[in-house]
Amino acid sequence: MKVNNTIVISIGQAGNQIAASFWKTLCQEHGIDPLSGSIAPGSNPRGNWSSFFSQLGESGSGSFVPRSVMVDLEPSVIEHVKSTSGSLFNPANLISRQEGAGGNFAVGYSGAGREVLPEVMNRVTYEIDKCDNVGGIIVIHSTGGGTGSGFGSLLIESIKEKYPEAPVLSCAVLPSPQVSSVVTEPYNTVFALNCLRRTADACLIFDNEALFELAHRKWNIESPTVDDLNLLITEALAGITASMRFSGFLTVEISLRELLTNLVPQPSLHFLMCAFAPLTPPDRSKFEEMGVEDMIKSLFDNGSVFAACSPMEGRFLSTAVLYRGIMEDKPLADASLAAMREKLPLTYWIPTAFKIGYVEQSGISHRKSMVLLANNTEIARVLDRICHNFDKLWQRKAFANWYLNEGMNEEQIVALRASAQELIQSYQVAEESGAKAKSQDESVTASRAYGGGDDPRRTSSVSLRDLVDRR
Amino acid sequence: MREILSIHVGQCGNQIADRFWRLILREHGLTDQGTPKEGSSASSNANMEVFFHKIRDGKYIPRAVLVDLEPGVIARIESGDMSQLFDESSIVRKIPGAANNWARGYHVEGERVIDQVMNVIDNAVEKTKGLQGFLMTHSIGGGSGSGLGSLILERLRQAYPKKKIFTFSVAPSPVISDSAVEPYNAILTLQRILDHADGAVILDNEALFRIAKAKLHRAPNYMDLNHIVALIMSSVTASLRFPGRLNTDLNEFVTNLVPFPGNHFFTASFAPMRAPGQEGQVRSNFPDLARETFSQDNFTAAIDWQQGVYLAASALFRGDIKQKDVDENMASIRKELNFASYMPSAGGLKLGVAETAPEGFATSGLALVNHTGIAAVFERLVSQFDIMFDNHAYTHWYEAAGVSRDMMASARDSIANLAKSYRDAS
Repeated sequence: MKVNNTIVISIGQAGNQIAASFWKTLCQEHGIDPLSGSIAPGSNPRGNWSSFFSQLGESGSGSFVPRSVMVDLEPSVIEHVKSTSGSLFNPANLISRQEGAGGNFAVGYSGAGREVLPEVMNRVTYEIDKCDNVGGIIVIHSTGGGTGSGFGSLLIESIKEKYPEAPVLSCAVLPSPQVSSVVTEPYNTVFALNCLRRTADACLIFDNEALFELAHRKWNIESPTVDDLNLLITEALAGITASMRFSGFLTVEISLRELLTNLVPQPSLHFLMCAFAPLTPPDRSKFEEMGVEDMIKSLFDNGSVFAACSPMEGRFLSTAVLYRGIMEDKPLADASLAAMREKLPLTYWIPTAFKIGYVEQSGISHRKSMVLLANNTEIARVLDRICHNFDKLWQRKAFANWYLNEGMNEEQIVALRASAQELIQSYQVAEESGAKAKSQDESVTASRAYGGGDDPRRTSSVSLRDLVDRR
Repeated sequence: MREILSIHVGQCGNQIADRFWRLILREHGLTDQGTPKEGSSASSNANMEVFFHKIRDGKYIPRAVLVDLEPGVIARIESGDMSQLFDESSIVRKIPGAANNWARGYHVEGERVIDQVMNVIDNAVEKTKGLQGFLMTHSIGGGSGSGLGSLILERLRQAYPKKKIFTFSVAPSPVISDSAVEPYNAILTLQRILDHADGAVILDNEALFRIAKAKLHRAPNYMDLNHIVALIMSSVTASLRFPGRLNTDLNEFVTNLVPFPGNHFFTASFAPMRAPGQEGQVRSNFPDLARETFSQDNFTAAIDWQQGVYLAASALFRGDIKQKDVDENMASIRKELNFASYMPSAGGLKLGVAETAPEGFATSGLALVNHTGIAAVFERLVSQFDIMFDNHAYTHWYEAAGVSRDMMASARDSIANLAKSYRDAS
């Protein structure tokens, strides 16, 4: 059966580490050997494998190849992937350089990044040409390092220029001082945000600050490492893509484009956060199982979202919940989700934004699991934290010389910082508008103002209309 | 013969097709592959040609066209019990799907497939001697059934201006929503149904869910909801498929049910509603059956019964039913129905009886009504549409796919006027 194909591009150290563990999980879920891409003789991979894997030849004989392109400006992580993944990946799609980006956005965006771009675009084009239909491109990168932020931005821009129709989802790992290695992370992140805001179709935030806390509190790890955080991200990514890889019960795949249609109410409001349940420690998941009601409670709990903020204090613009492996509990899950919905701070001008997907196939570590994808105005708080750290450094122009030396100028830097502020503001405006008009809306519904005329709602929306034009 | 061509569009439309054809095959004594069951006489007294095309080896092929922008549901039909039933050349399946976006189903993806779809339809029409019209099943909240469905309606009307077009349209439910943009998709589709169809049975998932839950005594799934839709479709079309006196063709439906142009949105009720497999166990007496048929919470759309009035109604009772029972009981039921004051007191409710009950049922009842309370369905969608539209929520997806805000606003105004025209008719 032909399905939509998704290509995963991973960039930089964090991006490729996550991608390596993501592809291993996908192989396991589809029954493909993660070291050779082959399957047991006489069998077929599970589910709609062709959404994320391609196969040489028409049937049977060939092995299954991840639709993956991995790029790094330094060699170590790519070398590690090569040495630990056997013959799973096409070696031509594992691209690295020697010199690194030195934790500098400008090197990844214009210096070494420009130089490697043609080769990478070549491989991306090759993968796109192999697709029956490009359902989407997922870019996994961190915004803290130089490669993930700089080259990530450059590549997303190049892809959208060449393939404007293909939906691009950036999965961006935001830095946290807790697990940081680069002091210039706030600069890199703010610079990358401009591209993610203007060019990507959506950006799913994985905030290391929150992930560190989750690994510490829920997984009981004294001092979590990057590997632990990447495992959390892998679980969420596997859950989010499950609906693209397996058919649901009566509903068929939910494509990336369909998710975006539901989650992005306005072009500029496309920064998403996610949560995963159950957050049982990996070594206990075989013995302990969470009920669906508790899972739903935990999804919406301020302490379990993968971003350091409190969604229940902000406002939900749109929401998607994806179940896995809980067919028999679906009515119960629907009922508790409906009850939960009543308690959520929703946005009055988006009355129906609640998408539910379900996939029968369980994940690897949990028989039953759920993912929440939310467009919530509290993301502004996360971005604000980054900007605050940026401002502290920029006040004294600390480390600014690295960027100025690579050809950026102060004006540019100020403009990029302002762009991040605009993004924060658009979410703040959305939060205010979602709340203040609620009573107004009720009165309108009650009086059923029909046939146009003096509609009080039209006045309240001025600021939002401005926002749309601003992009 | 007076053939009817069924067109099933999108996931929901094809899931309904799966249930509907299953029922129809049984009623006509055919196997899942379309061949007559041994010893069955069911086909002898029926107008088989209306819904089936007979080929040389005695096999019956549904006059149906299956279209989807995502191949999943159709693939499941093709790999299931009815794998040999449908004519391969009457199936159109494409990727990548409309992504819940009417504009993608109507413009971007729709334009890529519409010529092929119309070709398939033309070919199916060529196999008929005297086509009376089309039935379409689709949902109006998603992307494919709504967007591509709308495009097909427009083209059908253009190509076959004299033929009747009926839709069975699954509307977004007031509580459970499948996607954020349902109000947009629904309003844009309703405008096409208003302009290009002759009649539409509105079915809303919420009402179907409520009925299924009350009658099945367990948590229903989508299969159950689609089964109810299929039962309704089977009974609506029974008068076309079996000999009888009432509503023997689509023209008659329109004449009886549509008092004013454009007010062609119906709701339906089927009785007795029983869990699949238990239909025969309860043999209801006629007064109970008639009462359940016209019970307000048995109707499949969220009708505003308080504010509205009946404009027209028809009922079909199937199975072993005596005309005398019908005459005696319906007189009192008719009195309870709140008809518009200007309707002739006896004329509003048309009654019919057919000998063949649906498979598994001893008797059954169907009500198909035109009630002004359907305005509530449109008003709810318009008010959801307004809140989002005025705040520019989600409209960029439509503009990016070639549907301007003006186009959306004009659809909104059409449906607001439709609601008003129903309220004015009260």
